[in-house]
Amino acid sequence: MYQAASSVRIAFAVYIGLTFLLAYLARRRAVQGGFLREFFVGGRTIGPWVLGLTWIATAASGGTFIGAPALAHANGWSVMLWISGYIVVATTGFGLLGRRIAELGGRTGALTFPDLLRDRFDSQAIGAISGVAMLILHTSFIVAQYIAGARVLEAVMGVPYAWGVLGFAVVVGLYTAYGGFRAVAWTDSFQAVVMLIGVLLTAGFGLYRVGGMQAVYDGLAAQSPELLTPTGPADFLPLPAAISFFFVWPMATAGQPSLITRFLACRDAASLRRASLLIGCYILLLYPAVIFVGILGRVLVPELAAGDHAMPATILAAVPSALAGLVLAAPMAAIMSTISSFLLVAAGAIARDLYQRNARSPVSEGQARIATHLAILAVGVVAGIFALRPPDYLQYIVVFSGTGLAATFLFPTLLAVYWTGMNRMGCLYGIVGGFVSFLVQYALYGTRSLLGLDPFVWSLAISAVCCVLGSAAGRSEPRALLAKYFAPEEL
Amino acid sequence: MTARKTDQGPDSRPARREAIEAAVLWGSALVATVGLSSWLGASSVEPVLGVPRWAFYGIFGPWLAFFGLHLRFCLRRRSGSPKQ
Repeated sequence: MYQAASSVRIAFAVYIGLTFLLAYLARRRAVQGGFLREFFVGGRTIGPWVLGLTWIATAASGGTFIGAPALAHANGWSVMLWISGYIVVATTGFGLLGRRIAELGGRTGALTFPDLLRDRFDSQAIGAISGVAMLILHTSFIVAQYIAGARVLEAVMGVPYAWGVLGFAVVVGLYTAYGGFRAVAWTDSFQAVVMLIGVLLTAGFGLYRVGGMQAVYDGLAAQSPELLTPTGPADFLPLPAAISFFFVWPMATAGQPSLITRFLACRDAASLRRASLLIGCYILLLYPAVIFVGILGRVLVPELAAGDHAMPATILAAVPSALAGLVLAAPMAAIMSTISSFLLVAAGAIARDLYQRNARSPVSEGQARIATHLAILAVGVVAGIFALRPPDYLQYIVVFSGTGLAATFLFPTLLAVYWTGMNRMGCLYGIVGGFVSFLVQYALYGTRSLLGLDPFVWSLAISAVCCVLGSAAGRSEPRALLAKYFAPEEL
Repeated sequence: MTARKTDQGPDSRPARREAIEAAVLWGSALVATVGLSSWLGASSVEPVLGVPRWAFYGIFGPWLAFFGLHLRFCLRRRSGSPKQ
C-alpha cells in the first residue's frame, strides 16, 4: 500500500522463526512438577531481566505502536502530554502492588489473579465474577491487537485484512499454547528488545530524513500551528482530559491483571527491584520516541490511507529498505507479546478460575492441560471474529479495555492486600461498582464523562467507595484467614 | 517468589510504605507535568531545540526529574525487605 521491499517479508519470516525457536527453548527449560504452576507462573523462577522485559512487552501493545503514533500523526505534540503519565508508570506499576503480590503469591500458592482474590476472601463467587470480567475485557483487548497486527500486514505487505487477523491468531495461539508462561516471558523479552531497537532506529532515520528537530517543528507549523499546542487540533486534549490520562496510564497499568500476574512469577524481591529499575530506563527511551515517530510521520507522510497506518508508513518512508523489515518487526513484536500474555490470562480465567476451581471432582493434570489449550483456542477464535469489523482508531478499544480492567480491579486488589478490614462484600461491591459504572458511563457519555474527565477516573473513585461501604456493611473475615495474609501485630 | 508457605502471614507494612511513596510520586508528577505544560502552553509554543517550549520544560524536564526519583526508589535499601 505504501512501498515494501521483499526484504520485509524475509525479515518477518526470520522474526517469526526466532519467536518459535525461543518458545521451544523455553519449553525445554520448564520446571518439572505441576502443569498449571509451570504453565501460568513459569514455576515462580523468573529473574529480573525476563520479568522486566515481559512486563513492559505486555504493557506496550499494538496501542502503543500503532494507535498512539496514529494519534500523534493526527494531533501533533499534544499527544506527548496525553501519554506523559508514563513518566511514573514504572514507579506505580511496581510500587503499588509488586512487592506485596510477589510475597503473597509465594505464601499462598496463587497461580492466577482471581486465585489471589478468591483465596483472600475464601469466596468462589469472587473468583468466578473476576474470572468472567477478566475474560470479557481481556478478549476485547486481544481484538484490538489482532486489528493492529492485521493493519500492519495490510499496510506493509498488502495482506488482506482478514488473512492478517487469521495469521496473528494462529501464530500467537500456537506458541502460547505450546510453551505457556515461560515461553511467553522469553518471547516477550526478545520482542521488547526488537521494539526498542525498531523505534529508536525509526526516530533516528526519520529525524535525519526530515532534517533535524527545527525542520520537524517548521513542517508542523506549516501544516497547522495547532499541532504544536498542548491541546492539539479541535481541542483534542483539554485540561480535564490531560488530567484523566495522567490517571489512566499509571493506574490502568498498576491494576492490569495480566501485569499483576507477572509478580506471581517473580523469583525474589531483588528481582522485582532490578526489573523496576530496568523498566524505568526502558520507558524513558521508548515512549517519547514512539510518539515522536508519529509526529515525524506527519511531516514525512502527511496523507494516510487509514489513521492506524502512521507507524508502518513512517517506517517505510524513513528507514532504508534493507533495514525496514527489521524495524517493522517492532510493532509486530509489541502486538504479539501483548496477545500472548492476554491469551494466557484469559485462558487461565476459563481453565483455572471457572473450570478447575469450580469442578465438583478433582481435575487431573491431563484434563487441566486439555482445558487450558481449548480455552486458548476458544478465546483466539472469538477475538478473531470480533476483529473482522475494525473501528477507525484502534486506540479507543485499547483505552476502553485497559481502563475497564483497572477500574474493576485496582481498588479491590489494593485494599484486599493492604487492609485487614476489607471483606468479601467490600471486594464484590468494589468489582461490580467499578465494572458497571465504567460501562454505564461509556454508554451515556462516551470517552468524556462528568466534568470532562475520562469514565475511568470516576469508576476508580466509585470502586474505592464501594469497597469501603461494602466492607462496613459486611462481616469481618475470620482471623484465621487474615493470619495467612498479615503479620500477627497487624490483626 | 520462592518463599515457603508459613503459618504466619507476611508483614504488609513495608510494601504499604512503598505503595504510598509511589502514590505520592504519581501525584507530584501529575501536578508538575500537566500544570507546567498547560501553563507554559497557554502563552507560547516557541521552540526550544525544535521542541515546543511547553513540552520541553513541562514534559521532558519532569520526565528526567522523576526518572531520577524512580532510580532512587529502586536502589534504596528497603527496611523490612525479605531475605534475598
